[in-house]
Amino acid sequence: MKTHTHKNRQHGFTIVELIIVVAIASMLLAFSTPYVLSSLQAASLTSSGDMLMHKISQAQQRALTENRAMALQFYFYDKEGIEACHAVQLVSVDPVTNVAASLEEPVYWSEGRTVLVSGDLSPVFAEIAPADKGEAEFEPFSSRGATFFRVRFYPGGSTSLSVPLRQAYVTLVGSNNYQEEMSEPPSNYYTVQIDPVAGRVRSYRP
Amino acid sequence: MKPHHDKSRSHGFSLVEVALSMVVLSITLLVSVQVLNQTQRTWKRAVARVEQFREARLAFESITQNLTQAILNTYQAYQYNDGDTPTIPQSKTEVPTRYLRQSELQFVTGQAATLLPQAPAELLPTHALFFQARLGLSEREGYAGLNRLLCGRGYFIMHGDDEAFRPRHVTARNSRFRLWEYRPPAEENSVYAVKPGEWFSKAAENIVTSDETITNPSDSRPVAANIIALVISPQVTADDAAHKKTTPWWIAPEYSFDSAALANTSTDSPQGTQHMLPPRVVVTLVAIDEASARNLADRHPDDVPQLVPPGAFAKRDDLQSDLKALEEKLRAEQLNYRVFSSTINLRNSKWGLLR
Repeated sequence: MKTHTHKNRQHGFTIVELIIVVAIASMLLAFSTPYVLSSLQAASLTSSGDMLMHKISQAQQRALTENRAMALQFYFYDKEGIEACHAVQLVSVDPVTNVAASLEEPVYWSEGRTVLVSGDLSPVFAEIAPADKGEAEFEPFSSRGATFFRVRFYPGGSTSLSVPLRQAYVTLVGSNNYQEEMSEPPSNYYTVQIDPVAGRVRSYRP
Repeated sequence: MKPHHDKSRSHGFSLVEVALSMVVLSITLLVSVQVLNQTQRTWKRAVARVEQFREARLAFESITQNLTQAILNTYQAYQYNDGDTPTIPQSKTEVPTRYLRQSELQFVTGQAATLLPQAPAELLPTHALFFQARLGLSEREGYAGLNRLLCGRGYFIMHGDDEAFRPRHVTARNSRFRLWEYRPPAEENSVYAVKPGEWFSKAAENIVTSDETITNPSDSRPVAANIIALVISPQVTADDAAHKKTTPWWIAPEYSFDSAALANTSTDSPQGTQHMLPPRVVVTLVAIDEASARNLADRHPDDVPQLVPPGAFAKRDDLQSDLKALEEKLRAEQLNYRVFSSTINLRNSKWGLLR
């Protein structure tokens, strides 16, 4: 009897025990995955929004120090089925010929986990002057058939935005929350408001 | 006995053991949850503080940068008589009697409620500041390159909701103390056309409204939220004060300074400090963070919170004790705050003329 028990114990876990353990572990994993994913998503949304704020203030500072208009170009194209703005680029614009010269490499919102939407959540893009939108002229966007919207920042702090302050904002959302023609924001968003007159930037989070 | 014992062991844990392990497990869980919670709260508070005070710091920098460029363009003119327009002769034969310091521009500091009488006084805590500087822009088509035009600039704090300008999908109500910047375009600079003090008198009324259009934007723009006190003290340099054997703030002992007014006169200088730009201005700004402001707004859903003690910041001699009282009040209300202070030299001040 005694040796039998010992032998039995040395055998280790039974298959039932193992299955239970694996089941519990996978259940825990399944329950925690959405939370981990959403916190990752939130973190990438935060970093994208902070980057946009940084780019805007960089454009304003360069405009002030170089005493000429700077601009940010927002590139809209289709990427993995999402037709939205995936990148932004700092450019300078010749005020006479309206030709943009790239000043920096474009930056992408945290590797596709975040997109900047158009429509009701970004009313800025509805009122862009014809000279400040069109087919993208720089690679890699021109070969992707991207369109661009340009927002100019002048040395005095004013901008080329032609909407009042209450409409002068753009919104970033997680690409998992993206829908076409969004008019209501998802549970998490990062809205950046730019004062069209004074150029001050303010962020809104839920 | 022994086999029995062994058998009972192979059955598993006893009830006491299980209970004990449960207790230990729950204590561990409880402690770790508490620690996590605390860490998260601290983290959030730190982030909020950095975020909030970044906005306040930017606002403070923009005040100080713009204020250094304040300008009066003071000149010397012949005085012909003692009437309302002493520099204009009443007849061809009138002879000038002496030189008079003159300027059409204005530099004003003082209690915001006094300078902006149209708005309710309880919405306008502490001080306001209005000056002229070459910071202006024109809104006219094709004038965008002219970005150094003379225009009025001003700063004041006002309490209010951001309903008129927050994005449509942002639903949270934000009743806050905000720093506002009065910045009409250069073509609306009426300083040459009206009596002193009138060119900025509508600053608190002309804030951003919900029917603002881009072709006719509001003159006063929000700069930063959660700024609860702005204290402006015009001063002279320490050397000047020692020379005169008095405090550096003798030109504005009660903070108010109006370059258009005949003030600080003496037999030596009959014009006093009229049409003079103070050589130095000490700007103090007190900001609270967003989390504190939200708490405060929840506690005062319908009224304006009184953070600055009544009667504070009225006498420059009491600045330190007033600041201490304000800080005590903020600590008592459990609000995170930061005080920004700096002495600004006004580049265009020609104070030497006075000596």
